[in-house]
Amino acid sequence: MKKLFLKMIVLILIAANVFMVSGCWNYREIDEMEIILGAAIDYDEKSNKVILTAEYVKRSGGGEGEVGPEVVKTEGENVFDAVRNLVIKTGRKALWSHTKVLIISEDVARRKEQLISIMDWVQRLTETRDDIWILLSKEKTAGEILEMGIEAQKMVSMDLTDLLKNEGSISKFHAVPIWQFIDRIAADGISPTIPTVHKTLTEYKTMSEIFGTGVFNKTKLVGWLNGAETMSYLWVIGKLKGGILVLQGNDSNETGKMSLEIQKNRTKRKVNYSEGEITMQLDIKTTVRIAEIGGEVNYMDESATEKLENDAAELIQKRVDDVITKVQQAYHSDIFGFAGVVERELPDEWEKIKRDWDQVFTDLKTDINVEVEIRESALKSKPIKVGE
Amino acid sequence: MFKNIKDRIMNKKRNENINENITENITEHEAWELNQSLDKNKALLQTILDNDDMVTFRDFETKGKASLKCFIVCVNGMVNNEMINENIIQPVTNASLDEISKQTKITDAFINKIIVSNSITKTSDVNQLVCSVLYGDTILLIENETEALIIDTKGWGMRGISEPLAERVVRGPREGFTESVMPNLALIRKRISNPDLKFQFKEIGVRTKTKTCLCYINGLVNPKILQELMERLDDINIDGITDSGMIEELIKDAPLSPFATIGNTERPDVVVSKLLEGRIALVCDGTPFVLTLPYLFIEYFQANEDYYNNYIYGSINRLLKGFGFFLSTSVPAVYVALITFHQEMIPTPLILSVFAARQGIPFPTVVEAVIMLIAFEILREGGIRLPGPIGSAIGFVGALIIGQAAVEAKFVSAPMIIIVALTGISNFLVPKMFGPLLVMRLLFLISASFLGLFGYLFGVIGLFIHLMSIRSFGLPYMLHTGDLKMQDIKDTTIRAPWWTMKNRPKLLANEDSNRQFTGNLGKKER
Repeated sequence: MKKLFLKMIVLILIAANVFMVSGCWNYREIDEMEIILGAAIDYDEKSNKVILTAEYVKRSGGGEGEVGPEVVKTEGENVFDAVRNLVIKTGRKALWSHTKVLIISEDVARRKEQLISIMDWVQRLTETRDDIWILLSKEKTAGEILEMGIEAQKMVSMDLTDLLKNEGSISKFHAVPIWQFIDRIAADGISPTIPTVHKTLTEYKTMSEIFGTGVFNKTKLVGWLNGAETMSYLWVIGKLKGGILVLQGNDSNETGKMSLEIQKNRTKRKVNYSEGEITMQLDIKTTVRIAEIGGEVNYMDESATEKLENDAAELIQKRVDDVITKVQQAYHSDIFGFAGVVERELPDEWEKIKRDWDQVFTDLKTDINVEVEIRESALKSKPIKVGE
Repeated sequence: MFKNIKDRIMNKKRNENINENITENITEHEAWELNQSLDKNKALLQTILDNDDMVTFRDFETKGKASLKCFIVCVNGMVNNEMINENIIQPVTNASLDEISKQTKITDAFINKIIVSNSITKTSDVNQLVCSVLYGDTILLIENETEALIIDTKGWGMRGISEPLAERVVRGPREGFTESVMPNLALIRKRISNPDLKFQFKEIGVRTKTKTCLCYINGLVNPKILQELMERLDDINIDGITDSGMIEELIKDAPLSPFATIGNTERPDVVVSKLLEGRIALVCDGTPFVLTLPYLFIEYFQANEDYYNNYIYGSINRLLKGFGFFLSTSVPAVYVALITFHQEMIPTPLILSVFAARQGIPFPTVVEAVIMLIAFEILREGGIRLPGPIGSAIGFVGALIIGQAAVEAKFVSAPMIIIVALTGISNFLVPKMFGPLLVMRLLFLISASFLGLFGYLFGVIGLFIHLMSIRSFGLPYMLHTGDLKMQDIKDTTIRAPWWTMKNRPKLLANEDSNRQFTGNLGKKER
């Protein structure tokens, strides 16, 4: 009893420390700072300058609890120079501890020194968090993504954050916090990815969308994956949490499409080694449920279910194979982390092939086994029967 | 003559030997005996009670051939007139002393045969006579006798027993103490019909001679604590006591601390339960507040209603009070620390609304917090003293002006109103702790405004060091004994069901620690 009590006291003290050592201690009133919600970084090649676009909270001066976005643009020799130039424009120091997203432009992503300098600044500054989401702009500049919030009077950074948190239900992008991105740059045998953000013009307003992936080879942007390919990429790395798989019903009297909602996925990756040749084996086991049927076939029949499962498995197999081939052939960048699997399972062989892994990766054979299980059909067991 | 007493007291006061009891010295003096002559005695008393129009002298005689002259002295308003007329004057004037044998003393004959009263004492001590008269008794002096009779005729008006306003309950007895010591003692005694319940009177105050009464249960009380209390009471040398609070402050441990080491209550049931735990109660004449001691920190959180309601409900209330204590001391300090030092710890949507609300507020957050806390204390203090209808008006004005107008005029931010309101309301969860809470809240706030959460933590550590160092009549204030036992949790953080609380608090009742089944209610042997 006494020991337990002591242990509890020690635990509580340690836990209390977590709260107490979590920040700097100098007195600052929050209304004397600008709360930066998101930042976008562009690079102007002509003048060799970094352009920072920062979204911060507007001062309404009303005290009515209404907050809106405000965007400011600054230039600097490098990132921190541009950041400090914010003070000239806003008149107050910036508070970076609530920054949610960092958007970089394609120009920046294609330049190693620019990318490294941004990452270094984020990690070095005491205020910025390491879990800022990083995004890659598919538009001409990164800044225009944030600027479009002014017209609609909504905080783009907050919207993007909400969207990124919903990755599990859509699976058309893979959200990457900045610490993970930096880890991937530093690690051997794996390359980072960044989700891409787009600007869409509808009839009434402009909106931001996130889908697809920018593929990096270490610090250099080498190519893109679209939304569907990103889902396949998630299948390969085993991070798929949900999403919809749309099948074309191929029964003789069936024409409609049907969707299967992914409930659970498990991807096992191992390496087969025989006669000096490495084969990557992927065992994908996906549990789905029928979410929508565009016809009259009752898939709850055992044979129909089995057929549907096979069709789905075939589709997944094809899509996964496609994305692996695309990345291997077009980008030569191991964003799947296959190198890690090889290193773990064949350490001796890894030492030999380590140096020319890029070439080995390009030629790597894959063996994809997919197993789909239809677990349920939501609230209905039979499709809608059309009367005579 | 009375001036002599005064002089004696003044001389004694100048004397360095303050521990000696002055009143005893005066009564021992031989010059204060009654005289054989009735007229001389009357003259003596009249001199002592000079210029006091409340005092009434009344002469009369007995019947028969050998009639005796007598007179009574009483103070109008403090005596029951009917009782004097019917039980003293009427029997005496109707009595004939012819048949009484010469051997019998006249005073004994009066006591035994004539006067109808349950409490008569005889004495020749003038000082005692005067004191008795002034406390509502009637003295009867008889011709040729050197002894006078003191007859109990106390009968002043007093408040009826009503529910105490400061300690209301939903479930539980609704009787409360009044300002008179005897009825108060009766309220305690009728709840414990046991000869081991002891009452010991003591007079405190050289001038006022205020009656105080120590109550304890023999066999439960710790004799050392009782001894210590007696010694401390004897050390008091003050001219007057008007409330038990004065006694409390004169004898308490840690006199500079804002925390109480002696409890007070207006409820007899609370006093009885404390007595049954082995504590001592001190009833003081002239106030409904009875002191209980020793008093530990946890007693701030123990309400009598916790013990009468279901134990789960009682335990939740107990935990709520602890939480209220935390809120009331810490909310302003933690808020200021987070807003001005640790902005990164606040969720983004929350900081955005605080940011919006703080736009255009002229004061720094700390100043804002101090102003609002002081405004709250002003409203509270103002509301307490005012009579009912005006008091509620103060509430309205406070709520409207501070709550709405101040925010609209941008004197203070809306979140600060919420913080202060939360602080103020959680204050009322531990109503006996107003003073300490106020002090701690401001100290925490100031230290947090210098060092953020570090400062707040320093404040908390300081508070704990202080609390741990206090003792109440030898008992550790925080009940810290080095090891934690189930027994200690039962009536502290929770209120365990009654059937599991078989023992009394261990530190208090070391004579007889069993409360149930094996205990013999006060017998020393188990």
